[in-house]
Amino acid sequence: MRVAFAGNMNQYAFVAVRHLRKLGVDAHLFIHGTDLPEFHPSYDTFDRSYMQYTRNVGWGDPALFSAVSVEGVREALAGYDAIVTEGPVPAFLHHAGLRAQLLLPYGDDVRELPRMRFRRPRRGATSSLLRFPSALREGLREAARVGGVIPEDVGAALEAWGVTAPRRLFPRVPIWEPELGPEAIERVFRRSAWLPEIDAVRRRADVVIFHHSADPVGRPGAPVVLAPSLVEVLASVRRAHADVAVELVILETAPGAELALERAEELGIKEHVLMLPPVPRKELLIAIAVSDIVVGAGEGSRAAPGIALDGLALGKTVIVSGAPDDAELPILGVGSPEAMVRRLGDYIADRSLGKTLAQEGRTFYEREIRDAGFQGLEAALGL
Amino acid sequence: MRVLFVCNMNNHFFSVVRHLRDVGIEAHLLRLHGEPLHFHPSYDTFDLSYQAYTKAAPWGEPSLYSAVAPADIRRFLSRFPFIVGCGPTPAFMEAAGMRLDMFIPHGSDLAEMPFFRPSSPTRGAVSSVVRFPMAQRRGIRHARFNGGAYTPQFEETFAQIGAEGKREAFPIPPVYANDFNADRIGAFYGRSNWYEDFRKIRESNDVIVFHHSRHIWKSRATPISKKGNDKLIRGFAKAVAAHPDVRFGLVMLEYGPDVEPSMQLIRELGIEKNVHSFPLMARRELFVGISLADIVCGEFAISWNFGGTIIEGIAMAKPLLHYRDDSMYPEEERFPVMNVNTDDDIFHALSDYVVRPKHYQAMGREAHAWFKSYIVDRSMREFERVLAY
Repeated sequence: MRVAFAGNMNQYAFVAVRHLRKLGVDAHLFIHGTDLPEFHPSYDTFDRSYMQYTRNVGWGDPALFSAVSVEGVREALAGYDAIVTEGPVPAFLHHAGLRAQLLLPYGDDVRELPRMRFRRPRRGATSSLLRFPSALREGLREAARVGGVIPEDVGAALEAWGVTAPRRLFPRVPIWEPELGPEAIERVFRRSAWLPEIDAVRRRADVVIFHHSADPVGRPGAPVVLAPSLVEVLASVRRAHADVAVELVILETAPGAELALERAEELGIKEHVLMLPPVPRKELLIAIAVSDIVVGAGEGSRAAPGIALDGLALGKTVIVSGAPDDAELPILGVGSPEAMVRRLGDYIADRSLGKTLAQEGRTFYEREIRDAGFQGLEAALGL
Repeated sequence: MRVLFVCNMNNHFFSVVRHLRDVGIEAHLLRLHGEPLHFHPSYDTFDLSYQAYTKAAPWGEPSLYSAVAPADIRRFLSRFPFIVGCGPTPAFMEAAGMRLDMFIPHGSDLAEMPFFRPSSPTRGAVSSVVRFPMAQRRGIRHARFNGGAYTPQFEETFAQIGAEGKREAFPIPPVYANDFNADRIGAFYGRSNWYEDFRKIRESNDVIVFHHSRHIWKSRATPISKKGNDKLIRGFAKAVAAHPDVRFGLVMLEYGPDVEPSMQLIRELGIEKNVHSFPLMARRELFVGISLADIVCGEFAISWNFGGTIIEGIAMAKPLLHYRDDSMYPEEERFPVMNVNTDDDIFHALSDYVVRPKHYQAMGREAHAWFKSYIVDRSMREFERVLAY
């Protein structure tokens, strides 16, 4: 079977392609004009073999829709038994008289992209402004099946556009474990640009907290600014547990990172906060692998797991600000900085708690995300 | 002396800031909002010390010019007695009622930004479409000094705008020579994402040609954008065919609109096994790859005397395979290149490299000496002089 994945938002398709190829499926990845640089496969692997089954097509930009030749789209996707897609691609499939076997929406691609919006017209493709949203709606309706994670708002959008294809829900698998899973990731440590900095923190700390700020693109709403309050939390924890070396690693891209660093300086704990530059996902996962606790914001649910899955996959204790105590995922939900201080205090007082939680999280991830996700994908493709 | 460099297009100011700090000048860097990720300083270093002297401004996009409060601009600039800027910096300083000390254009900031061009208005800042180019013009006109290498097109535009500042025509070092040089780069091999791949290619090839330009030779593009990649591929294929006893490797990046046509041409010429493709990567990684190559490519479509790939090659003391029409630059000091204009030229140059590698290695060292003295050392002297005004 030959399967084409077109679009690679959040690197999900790249993970799926590698999984299917391991099963013997001739799966290929097509990245297109509007895939962000950080969703290039090279940001999620240290291995160049992706080049053998990845192609960068020139089309995919909604603003240039009218200028794209039908033949170009057909030529790229000819000979595939199934096309799995997302983002703006269904519009181009409709344009070329092709049909998605499986649509795996990420959110904005069904909530926002099909709407008519005033955008800057592009020379030679002015009519794209009208033609693209209409073609996307057609392309969505023509998909044979809809799969993946469908939160309520995405489901409502699909209904609003008249998408009646049967749905087969399954989690998206965020990590390719043979390279970046907990058993394998140490093998690529030697290829990391920033491991020496993280490792220096690891060597002097008893507890390393990693603030994961990279919420998946495509989720609605403004990012949650957590970094400054995390610095306050760090100061409180260090005061309450003076005999335990606790350190915090954040990313420059975290909302409020500069403020966090200023606050750390005011509190006299700047040397206990490492700020990493913007890093590709493969480096992000290395940083998590070296840490003990992953902290982020979100709901702690399967529908909106946010940062939690990366931490669970790598066997870490995960604390999610904004998630309830009885969150669906095996994470620690906290509603306030004070609650986070308490949770961290509990973790420090009894390390076995964190270990148990991390093991439970890893088991949950294996069963409910990785295995369920791949099985769901295989079933949706009729494998 | 505290000096602030505003806007990090192409990571050039980051290089300058590091050089200045090395000679004892307290230089700082301010990134502007909307700068592409690959111009982040971390893409050009293996160390985090930049964080001590780099900040990010929440403003800087021309389309949002009218929505930015002058006080918010001044907050980032007022503590510096000398400010050097490129990109949209002149306009934003004009908005803040401040005079830019030195404008060092990178290209479009002088050639395009000061002139009205229809562009899509942004909600809440619609008047930026008109106000930004006017402010950019005024900001450039009022700058105390205008820097950057002498370029005929720049001189015309400075005159057209009525620039009042003193012209200080000297090139700035676009590469941080104190880390990225042939002696130092090995210290970073253990931190490179792609070193192991480059090393394997080194071990399995006798002559490695490193080509890291965008692929633009087939699709429609302005003449100055074209790179002539097809000439290189054809010339390289001829060299491979003519020297079956020499293991030739060509390293290229998946970069530019014509990657697919290039790969198609490579297949047609039967040299797939000699070509090693890499993803687009941070510039710091490029230097690792270049350090393990024998020859670095510049451009082959039109003549250039200066530019990114050119300087990156000679900074690493590699001989540069490149097209330069020396009659176009009669006044300028030049460095030696493997000067080629056709695929046959390239074939002959590569064949000659096989016969005389030491000659070309010496050429690389000579070019590096030129870079060090004419670009790095000279620019530091000139900066110190200008800052002392």
